[in-house]
Amino acid sequence: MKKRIDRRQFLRSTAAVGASLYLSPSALGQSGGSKSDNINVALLGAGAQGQVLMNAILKMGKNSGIRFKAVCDIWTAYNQRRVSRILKAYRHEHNTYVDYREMLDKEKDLDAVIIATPDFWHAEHTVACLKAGLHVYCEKEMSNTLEGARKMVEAAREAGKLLQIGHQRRSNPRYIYCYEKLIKEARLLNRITTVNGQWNRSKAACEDLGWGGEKYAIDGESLAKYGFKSMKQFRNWRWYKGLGGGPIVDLGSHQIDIYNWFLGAQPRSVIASGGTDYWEGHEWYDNVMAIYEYETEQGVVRAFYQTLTTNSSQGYFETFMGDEGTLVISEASSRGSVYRESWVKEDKWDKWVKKGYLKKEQGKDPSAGSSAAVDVRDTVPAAKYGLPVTMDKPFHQPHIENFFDAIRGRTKLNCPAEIGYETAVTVLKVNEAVEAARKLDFKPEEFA
Amino acid sequence: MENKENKEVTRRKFMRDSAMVAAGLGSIIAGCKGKEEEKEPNTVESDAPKTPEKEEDPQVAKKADDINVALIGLGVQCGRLMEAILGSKAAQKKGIEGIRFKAVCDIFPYRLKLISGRLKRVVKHDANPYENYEEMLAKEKDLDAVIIATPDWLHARMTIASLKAGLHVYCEKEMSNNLEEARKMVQTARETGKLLQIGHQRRSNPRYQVAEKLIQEHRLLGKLLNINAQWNRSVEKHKTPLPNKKIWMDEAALKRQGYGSMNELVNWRWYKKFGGGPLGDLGSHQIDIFNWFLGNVKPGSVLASGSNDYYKYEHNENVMAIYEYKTEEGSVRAFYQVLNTTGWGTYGTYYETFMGEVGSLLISENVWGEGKNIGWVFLEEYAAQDATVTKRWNDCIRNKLIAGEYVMPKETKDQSVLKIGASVPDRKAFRYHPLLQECTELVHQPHLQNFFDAIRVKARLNCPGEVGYETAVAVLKANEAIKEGKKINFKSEEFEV
Repeated sequence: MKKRIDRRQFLRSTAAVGASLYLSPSALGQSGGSKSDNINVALLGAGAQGQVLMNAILKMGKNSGIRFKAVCDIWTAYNQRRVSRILKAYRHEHNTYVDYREMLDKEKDLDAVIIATPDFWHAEHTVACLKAGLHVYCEKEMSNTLEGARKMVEAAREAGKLLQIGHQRRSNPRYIYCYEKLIKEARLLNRITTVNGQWNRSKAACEDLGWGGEKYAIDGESLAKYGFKSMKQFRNWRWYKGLGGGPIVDLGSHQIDIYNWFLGAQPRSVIASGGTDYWEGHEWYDNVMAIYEYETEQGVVRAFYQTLTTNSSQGYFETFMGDEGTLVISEASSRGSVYRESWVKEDKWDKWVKKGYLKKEQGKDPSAGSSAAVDVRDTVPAAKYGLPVTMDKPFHQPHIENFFDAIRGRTKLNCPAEIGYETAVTVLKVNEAVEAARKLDFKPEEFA
Repeated sequence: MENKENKEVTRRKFMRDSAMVAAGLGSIIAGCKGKEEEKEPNTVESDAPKTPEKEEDPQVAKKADDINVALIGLGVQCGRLMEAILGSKAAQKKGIEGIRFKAVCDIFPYRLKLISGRLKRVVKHDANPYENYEEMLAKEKDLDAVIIATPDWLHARMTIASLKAGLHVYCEKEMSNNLEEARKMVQTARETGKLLQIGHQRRSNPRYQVAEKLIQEHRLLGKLLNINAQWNRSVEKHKTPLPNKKIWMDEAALKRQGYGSMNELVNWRWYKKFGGGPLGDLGSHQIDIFNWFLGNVKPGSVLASGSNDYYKYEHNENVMAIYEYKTEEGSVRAFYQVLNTTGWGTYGTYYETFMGEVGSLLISENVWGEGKNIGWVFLEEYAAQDATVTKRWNDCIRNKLIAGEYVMPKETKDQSVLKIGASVPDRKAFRYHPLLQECTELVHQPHLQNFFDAIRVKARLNCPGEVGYETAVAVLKANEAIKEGKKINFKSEEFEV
């Protein structure tokens, strides 16, 4: 395709003239789906998450300029067949592969690869794709080992190709808004001292996955070749040591990544508790609780994280608590509120309401309620404010769009490999801390 | 009580007084807030009962079950306990019948004069003032019980002396900031055969008592695996304002009592030699509930983190701890957080959440909004298909322990779930069953009532010294875990006296 050259030319020209002048759609050839703007992609790993990403791309519409040219998955009887059928229905002419090396050898027209294989394959797949001259969007966790993750960062640098890690909240307009406008600009929370994040899943959502019986099973030899002992392990790789990292990595890394982002820092230590308390035959911890300590410019921050696979009542969210306010945010749009501490003057926040940064919640201000029996030291309820930003796309779409826009030279990646690496360092340490049963310190150089 | 004569206030008159507390109590309590000290002298008189007292009926003698009480420690907490005993018009709450304050004791002469004066003027309790508790115990021969609400470091010596003087004791939590001394309190109660109630008042709160039954007896949550509780206190509430300088104790007098300054006396909770810090003050109420709701199981280990860089006091202002329990059913993991820098958490100011495989329970002692306590139980969607589970839930609905299902209106329309590409389905509308049992009394009243009922041999203590001790062990150990930076394991014998 032409656009690799185009991109280089673009970068040269913007460097000379100044990017902002060139960011109009026509200058970038966005109108009419100009040929040079098309991006040819392969999907490597067509399981549940691969399908989520594929769907988000299809949702971008037929004028998005994204063309699926290849799909690679070792489970031909189900994943590969299913995804191939959907892509055909959407008129994406593509080839199918079991072996990614064969795909990279044969597909000479690719620009980018979307990788959604099990974590333990990420490093090998990503490094090979980068070396083949392709940009890579790789799902988190970027690797189940830091060694693997580091190789990915280095490969991206050496190849000069883009590597986006799939912490998709980094591109979510609601999250960007909360960080840029509310935390950084308006400083509504003032000094943040505490973070609470949770992802709670019901038992029903965490039952082992099946594979539809023997007729869909992959043969033992192939499974072994790709690192799985059985179909059960193939389908439930997230629970096995050496393959995945358990719920703390699958779910936690999305949210703990936000801690680092919003705090503008990496943690200095972690303590954690977890156990294989409930589920039979799982190697990784069912339920995990971790407490991080951060040292930010403003002082110490303590951040709690909890992931459960036995109870869903509290759903998933991240809460940032400052001395002047509290932000509760979730990827789920049903949660997103800012609470003003009762001692902070209403005027101070009214200013931001007037500017349109916040919406005053409809209904009764809880602090106006009767509090006849409230104890002297009790804190009266905080006034609640809503966010003026909505997210009207599938959760992963803006992050993928950011990746494609970066390939087109229009923007920078929101979650380049270096950030994904910092998050991996932060998150993988939890499992270590559970084992160690003591506080583990991070050295600043560990994140570099 | 029995064998006590010369009660100058008859029971009937007492009840009349209690009904009138109304007017006066507000000002007694106001006196406990510190900042409002200066205004008080003016409000007292106008708040006093205006209706002339009727003649006492000399035919009605003091009832045998009236209880004569002394109060040691006339600070902030004393206000709550007195209000719970005497009632409050402002809160439209009745008091406890048959309790007479006979003596009050505080090292701070201003408070002593203020509180004893008010008790006398407003509710006609002729409580003798003492600066020294030993003197009080020596001179007051007519007492049945002592209520102790002094700083933690004094609990043990005062409790032990009171028990040895033959009195029952209601002692505020934390029972001591020193486990060795807490142990001696339990031993002394045993030796003297007197009652020792520790002030973990949720143990007597009818709402908590029902919640405990929902978990242990009705098994609404199924196998319980996780607990998450917090107490978030805002910057403005983190300390008690100092009173007007004019009324301060002088340095020499403070020094004689062990305090280096007026601030050390008023804000003793922030000093290591006087108290256990926010974890002891606030955490111990909630961590106590963990043990209780798990069926009196004690934790097996604790990990914790804390810091004091915001205020730079001796104690950590913010603490997080993770307790691990082993129950008959397996492992339970419990998170606890106490903050002094933010008052509003994900679900409010302070609450405890219990999470099991089929359901969850959230409860709080807090009252806000329209006077409703927050509290609900939640049934996992998949479990609603299980007939044995729904039978248990329906029984509780029928017996009015919980309400029927309530669907919380969604705040925003979910726009993330689309035909193609819904990756993680958004949270469904939150469905829950409100708890129906209210605590209509002031929160400390049922616990004091339980203490007085136990003295009257009508009830057993809900939080005897032994239980208070177990909680103190669980809580104080977290401070150790912070220092050590590692998981501290409890030995089961550590909880025994």
